[in-house]
Amino acid sequence: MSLFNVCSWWSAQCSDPGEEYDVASLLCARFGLETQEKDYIIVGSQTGQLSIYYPHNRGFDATDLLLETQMEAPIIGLYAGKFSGNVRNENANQLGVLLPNAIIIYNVVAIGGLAEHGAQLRLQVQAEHKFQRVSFGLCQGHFGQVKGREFFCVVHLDGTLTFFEQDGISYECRFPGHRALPAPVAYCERTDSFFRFSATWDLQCFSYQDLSHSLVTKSSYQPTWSQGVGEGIVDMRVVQVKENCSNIMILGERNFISLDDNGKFNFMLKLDYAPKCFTSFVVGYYWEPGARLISAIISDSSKLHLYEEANIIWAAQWPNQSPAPVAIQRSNVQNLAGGIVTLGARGQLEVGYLGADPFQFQVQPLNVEELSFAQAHKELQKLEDEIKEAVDVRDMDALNQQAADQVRLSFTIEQEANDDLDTLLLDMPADVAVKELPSAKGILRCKIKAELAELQLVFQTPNGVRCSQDTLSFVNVPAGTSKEFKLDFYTAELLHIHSTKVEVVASFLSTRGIPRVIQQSANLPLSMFYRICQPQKAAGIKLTYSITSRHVSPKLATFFGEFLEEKSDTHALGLQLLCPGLEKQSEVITVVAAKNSNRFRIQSDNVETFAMILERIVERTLQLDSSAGLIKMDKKKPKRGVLNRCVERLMAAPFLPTQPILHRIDVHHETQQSIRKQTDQLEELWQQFKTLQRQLQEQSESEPKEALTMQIESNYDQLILEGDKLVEIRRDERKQRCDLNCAVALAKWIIHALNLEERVVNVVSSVLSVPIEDWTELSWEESMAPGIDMLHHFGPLTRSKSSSTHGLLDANAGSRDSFDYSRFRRHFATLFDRIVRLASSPVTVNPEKGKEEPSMEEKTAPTQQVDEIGNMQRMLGEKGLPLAPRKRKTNMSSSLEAVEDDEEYDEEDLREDVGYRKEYGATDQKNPHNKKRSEWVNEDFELPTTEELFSDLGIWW
Amino acid sequence: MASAMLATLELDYFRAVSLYRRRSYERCAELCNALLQAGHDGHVQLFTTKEVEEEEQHQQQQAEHSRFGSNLQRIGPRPRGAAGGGAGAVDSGPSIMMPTWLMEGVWQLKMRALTQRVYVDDLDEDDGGNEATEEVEFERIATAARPGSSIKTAFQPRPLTSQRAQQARSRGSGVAHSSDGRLNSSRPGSAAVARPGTSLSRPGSSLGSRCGTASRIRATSAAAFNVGDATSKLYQASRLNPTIYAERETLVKALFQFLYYHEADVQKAHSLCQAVLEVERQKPSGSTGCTLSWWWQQQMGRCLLALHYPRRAEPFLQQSLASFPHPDTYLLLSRVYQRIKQPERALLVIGEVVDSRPFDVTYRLEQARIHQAMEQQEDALQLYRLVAKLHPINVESLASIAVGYFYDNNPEMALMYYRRILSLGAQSPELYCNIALCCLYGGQIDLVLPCFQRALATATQPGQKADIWYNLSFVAVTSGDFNLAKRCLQLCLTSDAQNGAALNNLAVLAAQSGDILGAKSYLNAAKDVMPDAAEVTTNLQFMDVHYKL
Repeated sequence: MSLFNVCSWWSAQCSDPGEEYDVASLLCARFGLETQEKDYIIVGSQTGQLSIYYPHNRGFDATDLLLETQMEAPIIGLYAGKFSGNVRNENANQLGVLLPNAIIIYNVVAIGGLAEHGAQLRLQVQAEHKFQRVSFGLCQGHFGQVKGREFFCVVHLDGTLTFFEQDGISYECRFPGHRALPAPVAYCERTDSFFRFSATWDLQCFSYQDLSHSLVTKSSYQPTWSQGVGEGIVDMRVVQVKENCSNIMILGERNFISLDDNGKFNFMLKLDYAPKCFTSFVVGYYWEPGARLISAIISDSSKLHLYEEANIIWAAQWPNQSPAPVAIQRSNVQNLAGGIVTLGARGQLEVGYLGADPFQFQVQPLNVEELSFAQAHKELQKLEDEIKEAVDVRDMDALNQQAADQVRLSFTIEQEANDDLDTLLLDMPADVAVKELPSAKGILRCKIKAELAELQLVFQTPNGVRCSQDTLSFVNVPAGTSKEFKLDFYTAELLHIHSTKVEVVASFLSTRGIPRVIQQSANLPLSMFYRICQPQKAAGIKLTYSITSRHVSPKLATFFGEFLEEKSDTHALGLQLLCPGLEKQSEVITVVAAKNSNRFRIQSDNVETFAMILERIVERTLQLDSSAGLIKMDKKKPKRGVLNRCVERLMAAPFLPTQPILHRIDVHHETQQSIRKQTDQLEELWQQFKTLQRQLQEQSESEPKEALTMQIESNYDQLILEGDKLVEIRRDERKQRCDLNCAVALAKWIIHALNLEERVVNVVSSVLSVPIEDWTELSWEESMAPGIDMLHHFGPLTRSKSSSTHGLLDANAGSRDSFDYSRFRRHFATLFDRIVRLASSPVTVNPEKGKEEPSMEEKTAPTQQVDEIGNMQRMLGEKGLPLAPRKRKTNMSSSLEAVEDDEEYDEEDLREDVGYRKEYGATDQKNPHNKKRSEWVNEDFELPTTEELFSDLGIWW
Repeated sequence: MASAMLATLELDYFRAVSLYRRRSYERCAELCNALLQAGHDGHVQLFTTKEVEEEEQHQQQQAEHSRFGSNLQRIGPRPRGAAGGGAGAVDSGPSIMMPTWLMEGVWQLKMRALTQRVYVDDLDEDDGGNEATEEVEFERIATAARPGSSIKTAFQPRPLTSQRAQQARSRGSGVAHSSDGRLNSSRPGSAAVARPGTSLSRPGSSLGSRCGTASRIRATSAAAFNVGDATSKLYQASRLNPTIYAERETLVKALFQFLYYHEADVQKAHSLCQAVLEVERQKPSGSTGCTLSWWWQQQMGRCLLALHYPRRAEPFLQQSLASFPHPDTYLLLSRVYQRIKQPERALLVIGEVVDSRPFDVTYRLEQARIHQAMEQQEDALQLYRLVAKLHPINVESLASIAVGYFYDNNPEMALMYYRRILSLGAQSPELYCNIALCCLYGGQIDLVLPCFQRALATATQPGQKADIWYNLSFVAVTSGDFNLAKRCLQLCLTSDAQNGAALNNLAVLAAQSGDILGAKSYLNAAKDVMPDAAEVTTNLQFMDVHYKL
């Protein structure tokens, strides 16, 4: 056996093609009109169309349709039976048409046709019973085992039954309890009882006696028996299979169930498909042995399953992939005994039969176009070219240029701070709003020259400062659009701010999906963060910058236009930090311009005040100088041994406030530690919490729970408490991170203008990147440690004199997973130390002083010689450093008293430096790597290739 | 006029019921929505009154209804005047009141329709997969060592060099296991496979499967479909108080199924179960349910099993079975025993019912599955053959036999069975993929690519596509076109970036073409995805030993 087709014998489309047909819309019945009569097929739609067909032969013929009429109300069901007592012909059946509020009993009358026309039928109203409630179905039968006459009862939507007995005698029967969804009611003649499907998904059996009696007595209806079916039902039928037994066949939503009329389960068959409708019938006569109970179930995917009892005996499929029929009947139509009559939801009426015509699934042909290789190759080539074009990154400058052409950004910030900010609108925290800090206005204009699929603008502000827009996204931007955004920048958190720079990053996808990023930056006015105050005479940290550029006038007004008039020649400017810090203590920074020289002295007690001021001085100098247009600084790649070109414009005195910076790092580190500790503690509590919860869940109901509940409560309280603490610490951490930001930025700005090899400056600047970042797994210190370590062991900043750097590297690798803070701190300190030393020794600013140097060199050289030979290799890296005079400090001390930071340099250090210098001189020419222009890390943060890196390292090894 | 209006409403209700009966659940729900809206506009209160017949319960009910009445009956405060204008003719006057019973009926009908729309037989689904989705997912892959994808042997053409392929195949074979072609399960041997769900077959129920773990459910819950439906507030499971509904026995079963299948909120369904059982326990034993209802015990077991408490589910199911031999109970009990690693006991349970109903394929299939889970392939195959004899259009058995043949190095026979499944009308990308593989190893090379083409054309889910590309890479490897193999694998990764097997094989291919660093990084990626896979570990070790990096 396999899957077969249901062969079509006769089919017709009913007059209403809408989805208006249901189970009860199909009826196969005889009316006793002629002697050799076969089944009529009656179809009634829910729009009121009634049709009667009488198939004669294979294939539909116009004469097969005997009647077509329109009822005034929807037809809910069609029934045939001996509904009327006073009919002579005892074979005659009447047609009962169930309408929502009435049932009409018709006599069917045949009108003989002439010649070709065929016969016709006519309906004569025999009786009409009206009722108030809308009907759902009808149950008919020889209630009370009356002979020769069928009674019926109408099942209403609300579950009540209305019985119609004799002519016009009717009574209502209301079941107690809540109403279920309407479900069919079936009558079993053998036991004279009704089966009703209750709301609790039980099948209940009521005897007719009880029902009719209870009407009189109004007693409650007690079912004779009740059996749980456990699911909703689709349909139900009663079939008499034996003399002494009827079967109730129930098609459930998931199972096919059979009970006998005493409520005993015959079988319950789990269906592995979604059933739609079914019919059950007996082949043979029930009073004879060998009668077979057959059930046909139609599944949702138009398969017909035939079962004998619970065993499948046949499966067939409707060949066209039409929706499954909603009603099925077995019927003896003319010339086809045992035809399968089905009705589709849209009125497709079909009479079919089972045949050994195997079902063959026709695989839909794939319409794949024949591939033309030449064409495909061309397309592929084109695509690959496009891809190549998009991902070719060899010429970054050109790419960036192109990108900047596609989206033109112009981003400016007004240099006047203003106070009229709508703090409410911007959702500013109250503690900030109260201070009424000044804000700045900015404008971003962007012109889009090429069509873009996506464009995103992101504003990056330093921590604590917020922009009124932080991200803007656009989709499908047409070419030629220009947009303008008005922006407000304002302080949103009371933090130390390390930079005034605001970056706008435009990232966009072209229509082909090629991503590009361009960025622009602008600076916020300092007046947003400082206000003028009395300059301070003395301070803890003093820095000196000397402007060496000829194009920049060393006046305060040049740099601090927000605070000073253009023409003013004030020499001292005191600025007080506006926003952050402790309430009581004011953080003041003083900038003093030397009267007669080109130096600035910047002094303050607080590390945090410096960053923005230094940024302003350095950037403004470089900016003014390059706008004067002498040397293009950025485009040239730094070469080995070239001095920091910044120095040609301005130079910082080689002093780094190491201790305050280290102090900031210490504090930050401690906070990190305490966060970790707190997190661990929370984790522990949380584990406890989970364990307790689990215990509570697993505890059986009888055990007392008080102790456990108390534990849980106290644990919970603690959890909340510790959580709050963590929040508090995190807030502190944020503050400290910003402080550290300022400190690192300070160091960075100083180093930026130090008299060092440019490479060194670049490397150190890239290591000391701001803003610093803490990750949950890795604090800033930990993430910095490898870089600092590297600087410590390799390159010009190496401190150690031992030549066995390999050993150091190994030791380093071993201790990698345990972060040693003291070691990090030490390295950090020595790094700064080294930088200062290096920077303070080789100075080319005053070439005439260099003449003094050689003599000094010669003096110290012999003492250092032994050690230094071992260091030769390492020092080759510094071979490019020019000789420089030793006595830089005399130079400095001449200008301002505070510039003297001489206590940093003792004699030993200087001598050591001198010693180095001799070595440079000696090895300069011999180094074979000298001509290689490889760079270690360049300013664009391009990673060097491995070879470059290795060869670079090789020099120092 | 009022009565005419009422008749219209009732007729609409009838139509809704009729639609429900015809399985047009979407339209039924729509119609119900309209009715509910109308009823709401007429301020009909749900579940506030009871039948007069139940006088003695009346008082008590009244009290409690007023409690949850506020929960359920209102959709939202709405001025009466606006309602009359907006909702059209149905409710144009205050005189027309929709009767409460009608409102409740509609409410229940919609709930049933929503449930039925997304109903997936949880017993059709593989618990194994369910279990695997949690933590043991990768253990399963690791238990069957993948032959031949280690670096030395990767290029020997042999059937199924990967467990992944095996999965793909078995998944495909399991698809459409119901004889109906409902395409909903992944029966034989599929373990770590996200079930394809019934989404393929039923329009509108694209939400995959109702699956056991409550945690994963939120996203897949069908409740998401109610967005934009004003009446959806009537069906908010989160606001439902189980103890209140437990006593409304006409409603509670439907409500349970709604929670379990539609909302997929097993936790809630479970607490409803508990509440109902509690109510039944407290009832005087003289009344109708002197023993606890088997239905509720079965559902309790179902919930507990889905919540991964198989041991607690067992007594409930045993009791349920004692009072009524429902097929689901047998299957659930069998699942329980399988879950607690006692497959023999599962066999005993199923054996019992098989003795009484020897020709019911449901139980035979379960038997076969248990045997397969116990890795008794022979017994399993014999049972599958029996099923195929009893029920020749049972796709699951056919597919399982095919898989058996395939691994028995008999791809031609497997192909026969797969073609049989195809001729039954069960069309799925997995099936095409399997046919293609059978063709490949059976030597019918000309059919391989067209079948894969079809598979790709029919595949909709990214997971399916990934599997097909993965299997295509084997075709490429077999034909020696390593470039194509690489591309296939890369395409596989674009569909499923977490495909460890593909990453591993890419590594092997990369190593073979000399790109050792690339291979290493692929292997590391594979390691991230499948930390326990034996091949990846072996390959990594091999690389460590033989290549200096």
